[in-house]
Amino acid sequence: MIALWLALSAAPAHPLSKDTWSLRTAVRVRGDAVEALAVLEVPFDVVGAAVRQARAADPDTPASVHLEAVSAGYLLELAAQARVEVDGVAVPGAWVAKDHPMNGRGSASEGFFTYLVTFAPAGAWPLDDDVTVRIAHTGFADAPMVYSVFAVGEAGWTVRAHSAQGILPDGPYRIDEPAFWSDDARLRAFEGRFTRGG
Amino acid sequence: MRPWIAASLAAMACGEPASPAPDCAHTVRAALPALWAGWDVPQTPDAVWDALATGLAGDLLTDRYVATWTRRARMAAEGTDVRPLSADIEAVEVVAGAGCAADVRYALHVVIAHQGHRHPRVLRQEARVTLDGGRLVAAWPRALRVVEGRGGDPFLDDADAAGFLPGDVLLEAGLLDTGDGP
Repeated sequence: MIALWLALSAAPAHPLSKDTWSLRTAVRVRGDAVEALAVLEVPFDVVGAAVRQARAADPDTPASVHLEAVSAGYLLELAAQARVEVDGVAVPGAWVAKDHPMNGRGSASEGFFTYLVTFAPAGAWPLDDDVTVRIAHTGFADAPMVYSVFAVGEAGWTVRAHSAQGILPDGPYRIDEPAFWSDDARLRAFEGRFTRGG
Repeated sequence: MRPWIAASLAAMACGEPASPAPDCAHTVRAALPALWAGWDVPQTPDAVWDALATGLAGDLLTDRYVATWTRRARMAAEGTDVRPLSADIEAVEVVAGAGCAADVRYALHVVIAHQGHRHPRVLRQEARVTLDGGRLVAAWPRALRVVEGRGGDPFLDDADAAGFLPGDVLLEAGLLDTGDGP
């Protein structure tokens, strides 16, 4: 336990404020598919306030039930307020909660809840050799938010350009580096051009 | 006392490790929570000793008792506290050879309280433990690190979710201000 205590004292600091929401978009083109993931982080204090408000209106319902409802609401808004376009055409499909052990849970060390949604296309999604992918979020517009974007091409695809260039660093993406997060609201929308081949 | 610790203590009290041919991995899993159980009982000599003694024996029991008691007393004087929330025993790999020894890995969720603030932390520890008579008699730490909140993989395919706790656990720990107090 002495070692435990020493380790606790050396805990790393989070690069972001614990009072700030975050919204991160990850886009990957590989094979014949575009994969998109959106990650929303909501501070404990914000979630706690939402539960308090719900309990004030319905004090007989346990806090844990209210918390589940609050979390479901975040996921619903995150999914409903995101849009995917390829070459200017809205892709049929829906954002759905990602089956992941982090989803809906609280990061004990960082102080925020994490919500994950991924885009599930309604059917086959043919891609030609040069595509422009656009993902836009319209939810949580009034929340104090920092943003991050990650784009990658795999299995023969290359990222030619994307809208986060000039806002975020060009180097390898590092999620825990503050430089890869920005409060620039332009990052609510991502647009990237991907080409197949070299 | 937390339910998961109470369950472990109950299992030990029922004599499970003393069965004629106890499975080593099972016995390790049953005894392991005693390593941190001394932090989740009232700070009285009997309570701390009894919690540790559910799974520890010999010099390890003595050493852990002194270390736990000393650290808790010092922290109490400083107005600081560490309380275990839950633990995930992630791996128990039995070491071949005589007796029962295993390499273990576990993630321990704790809350640190000081100066009116409460901070959650998740620690992942690796150790080699040796058992005798169903109790741990040696524990050699191999690695200890604080689990960070985010995985390094942007798509989270390989992300480490050990630092993420269900909402009901966070509520029970008083880490969400829902107006009910901690």
